[in-house]
Amino acid sequence: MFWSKIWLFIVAAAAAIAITVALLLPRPAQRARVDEERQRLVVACDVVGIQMRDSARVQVDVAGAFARQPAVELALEKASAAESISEKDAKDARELAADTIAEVKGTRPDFAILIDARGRVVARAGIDEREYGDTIAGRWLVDDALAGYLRDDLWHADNRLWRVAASPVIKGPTYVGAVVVGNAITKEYAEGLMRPLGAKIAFYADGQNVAASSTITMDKVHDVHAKLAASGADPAADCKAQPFMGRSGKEEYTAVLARLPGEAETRGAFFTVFIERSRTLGLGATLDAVTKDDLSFSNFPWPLVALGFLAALGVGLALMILEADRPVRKLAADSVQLARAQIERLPEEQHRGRFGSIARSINIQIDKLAREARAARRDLDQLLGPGEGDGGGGGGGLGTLDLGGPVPARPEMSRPAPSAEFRFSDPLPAPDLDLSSSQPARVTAPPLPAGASGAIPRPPPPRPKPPLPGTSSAGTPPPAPMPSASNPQISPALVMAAPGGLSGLHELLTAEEPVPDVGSAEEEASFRAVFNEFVELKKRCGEPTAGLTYPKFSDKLRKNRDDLMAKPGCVGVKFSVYVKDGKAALKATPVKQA
Amino acid sequence: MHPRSLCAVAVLCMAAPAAAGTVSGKLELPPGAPDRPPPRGKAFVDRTPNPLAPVRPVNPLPAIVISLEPAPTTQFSSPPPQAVSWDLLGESFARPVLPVRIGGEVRIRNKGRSSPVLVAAGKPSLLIKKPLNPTAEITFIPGTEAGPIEILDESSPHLKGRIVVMASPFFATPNAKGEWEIPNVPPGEWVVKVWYDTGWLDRPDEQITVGERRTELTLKLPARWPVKP
Repeated sequence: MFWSKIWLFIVAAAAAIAITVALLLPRPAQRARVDEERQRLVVACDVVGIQMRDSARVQVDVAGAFARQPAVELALEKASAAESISEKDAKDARELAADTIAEVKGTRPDFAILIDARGRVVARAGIDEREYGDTIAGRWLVDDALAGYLRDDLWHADNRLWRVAASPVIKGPTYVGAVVVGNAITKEYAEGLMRPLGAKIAFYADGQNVAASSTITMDKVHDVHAKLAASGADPAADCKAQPFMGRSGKEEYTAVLARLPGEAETRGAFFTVFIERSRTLGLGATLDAVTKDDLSFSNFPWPLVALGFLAALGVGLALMILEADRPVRKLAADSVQLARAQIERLPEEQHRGRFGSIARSINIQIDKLAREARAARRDLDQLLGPGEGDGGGGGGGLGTLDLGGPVPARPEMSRPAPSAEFRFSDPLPAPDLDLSSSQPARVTAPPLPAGASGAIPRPPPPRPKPPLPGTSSAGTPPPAPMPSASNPQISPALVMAAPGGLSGLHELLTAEEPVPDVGSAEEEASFRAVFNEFVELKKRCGEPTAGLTYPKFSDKLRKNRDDLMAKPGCVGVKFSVYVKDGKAALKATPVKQA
Repeated sequence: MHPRSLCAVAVLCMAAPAAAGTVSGKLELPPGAPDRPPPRGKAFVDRTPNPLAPVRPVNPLPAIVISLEPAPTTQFSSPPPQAVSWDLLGESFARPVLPVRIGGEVRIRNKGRSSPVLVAAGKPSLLIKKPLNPTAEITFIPGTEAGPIEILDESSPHLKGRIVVMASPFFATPNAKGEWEIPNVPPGEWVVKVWYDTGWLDRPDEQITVGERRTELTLKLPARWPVKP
């Protein structure tokens, strides 16, 4: 699995790098687009300034030419000399101004104002034509013109911005007045400014939009202007300022703002040049912008991508087969063999890596179970004595347990070992069966009371019996001994119940027949026989039998039998009675599976 | 003349109070006109002088006021202040500088086409902030302290005038020729001061003695038009 993990790491790292690159790649492009937009706006803003400057020069030229008209000189000379301006003089001058405007080639002024040397308006043409006689001197443009200068200005009047220019009117050596010509900044003018630039422009003054090349009204414009005006920065550098983002409805725009010069500047006149903001080029937007042509074989290295994909897939699959699939299959096959007992242990040396660890772990558990089985057998042997056919070599023989002795400490066992010997030394509440005693029961037959042997019928001599399967004669506890005078240590009281009493019991014992755990009638009969034998033996040993009742006795037998039957390999239990330490004792001997 | 007649005239002259005199004179302008202020409201192109005639110099006379300040020894009874009219001709006042005596009333008449909202710089309570419609007029008393007060239109940066509140009741403005006259000056010692545009000209003020006869003065104004701080 090592190389699979390495490969997975490589593939994951490559994917992460690819995602990172995919997310990062649009950013430089976005920056480039933003810079391009900014540059475009700066250029547009500068171009607006240049165009307005050029227009101003043209206007000044027009005003100069206007002022040099002899008729204008005469009209203003006459008006300057008069104490007041008559209506007729005003009308004549207005017609003269209108005619002069009409003669202008190129961009004609929207209006012209003739001013006498005192600063009074002699006539207006193209605007407020009925008004005359008021003093317009005081405006910086007019004052400079009356002083002899040609210049331009930007006025804000009647919610419009006016590009104006003025020229002094000089007749001979005498200043006789001035001429002001002007053009309104209109939508057409704004469109003309933006036509070669592909941007939009809007003019503002006194907090109002006065002209624009489009109907778009952006927010934030006045805030930006207020900040700019408060900053004290040079208005000439406004176009170089950082663009700002404005919004009109759902549309976003990138804009630059530049203050307008002239008298209108004091009225908060400015213009904004803006273009629709390009969409942010994230990964999604970049993918949206992908066209079919981008995905064509001529523009995209599909073979390379496919080759890389197949290579990555192939390497991954190969590593999976080599490092996972095949070892798993082999381990599964070995496990099946183990389950079928075709092998005793998994061939861990044939498995590598984690699978070898699994095999080793399983083998360890198998070994552990075996050890525990042997230990359990030894424990049982220690508890009950060597069992029949056990041979003392771990054959699984079960010994006896003297229940009348002191109760030893209960060792830590998951399950109490079954007891095989009972001593009803205390007829009153039967002591708990201590099946955990590690002390082997020592069977000591009490000396028989005088005359006891006569009272007990001797069983017939034991017949030869076949050894139990899986056991050996060596070390195997002897079968239930028959009471006899030659063997006084063992009570001849066999309790393997038989309907025939002791003789029948002896038969059963010598026949090594397991106590069948069959119907309750047979069980009851056998238990009854053992009980009778046990009572008899107790009497013989001089023990009281007053508290010994059959129900208790049979419960004990049944419980002990169940416990022994729970041991592996135990298919039956046979009970026998004998004398131990001068007292009657009961022995349970498990019958093992053949 | 008969000796008795002469005596009678002399007696009459001694008995009657001293008659007020007239102080008049002419301004002797320095060789150079005041510097033209830098272009105001410069737009897209620089202003350029016309090629046909020299640029007209700045005319300082409309911004000059001649005032007579009494010497410490001069005692006189001050005449009551009089109302002064100041015409707003359109985009400018008839005079850029209007002298008015302390406590004197100023009446501004709008003879133009627009409706400016006039305010007094630094004295927002002096004028009611409302449009002054054409042909309408507004009357106010500039103040009780001597000094200049600027009147301007918030919406027209070029529309600006200056009221000079004079402590002395005897002052005059020159005409286009630079001539001026102050009548009814009580006899006594007086100091002649000249106001130009924004302040008193920094020059040696003449001390004159006014009697019954006309006092003629030629006030020589300093070059570069220095103004006392």
